Amino acid sequence: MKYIMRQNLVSFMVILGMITLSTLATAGNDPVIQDIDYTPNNPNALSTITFTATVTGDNPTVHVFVEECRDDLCYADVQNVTMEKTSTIQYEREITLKHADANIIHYQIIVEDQGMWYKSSLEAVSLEGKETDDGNDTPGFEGILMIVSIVVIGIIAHIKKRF
Amino acid sequence: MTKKRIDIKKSHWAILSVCIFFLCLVAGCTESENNEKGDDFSFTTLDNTIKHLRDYRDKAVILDMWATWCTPCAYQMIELQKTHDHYETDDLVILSVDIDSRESPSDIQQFMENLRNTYGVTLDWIFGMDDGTIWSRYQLSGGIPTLCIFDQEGTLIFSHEGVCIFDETPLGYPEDLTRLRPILDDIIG
Repeated sequence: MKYIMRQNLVSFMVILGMITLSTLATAGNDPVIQDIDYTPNNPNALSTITFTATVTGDNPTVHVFVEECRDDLCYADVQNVTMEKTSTIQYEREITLKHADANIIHYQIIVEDQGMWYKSSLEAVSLEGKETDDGNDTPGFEGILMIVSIVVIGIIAHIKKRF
Repeated sequence: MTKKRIDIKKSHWAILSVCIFFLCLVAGCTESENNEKGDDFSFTTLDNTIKHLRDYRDKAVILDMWATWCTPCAYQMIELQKTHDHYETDDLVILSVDIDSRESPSDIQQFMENLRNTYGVTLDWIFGMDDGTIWSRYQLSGGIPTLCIFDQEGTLIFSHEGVCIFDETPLGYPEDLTRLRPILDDIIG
């Protein structure tokens, strides 16, 4: 009886060990996105932000996705670019923001590895020094053309007087 | 000879002035005053059917350009729900077209499900995917949501970038948001 129980215990421990090893082996192959960071800590609109990420995995392709928004809209020209590998598991990329009136950005790290996609959560960063845009700042096309016309006429009149 | 030269110069001067004057007048016509006739754009619905603007003649049409990752677009849909509930389906059609070609119908359906669960909206109007022609034609300065409103003859009469509200300003929203109701009442009556 004791012998049977010991046999069962040994079998159980062997099976448990095999399961644990296989789990570790599997987990070691899947990319893991860690330690996402960005500088500067308080970016401005139109500034350049450096994103860094620690990503494990066999040979993943790592992207950073950045969208710029203001309160009532987001800009469709999102930036989704490949990050450069700076060390075995470190990746880095500079992103220059494009919209002066954006007051917040969302970013996300996206990893592609052997046909599988992994994403970090979408994080938000408030921008400082946004420029307001009420849409009425520029004089309009006709106004500019009128001003140019007046200047040209004035120059022609001046030249005519001289000669 | 000198007098003739002066006369020629005067006539050139007059012609130049007239040309510049008319150029200034014409320049005003190049700005978008929303007098563009509605084009017969097409898009693909979530069940893979191709639809056209012309399929909705005799109805006012709201074209809502959006993407699932755009948070303000979700707020816009809440306002579109109020708009949809206010008018008869015989009078108004809403087309919410996802302009991000990287997204799939399942992404859209997931988004809709999340919005329904979170805000209790039904979103029972037409959703679809841009085939690449809608956004390139109707975007204003690259922001979403962008709304376009076409009258019953397919003429584009309104376009706006950013969130529009239906009528009353919801709590926490800015007071100066564009209201859709006066525009739609004017078309639908």
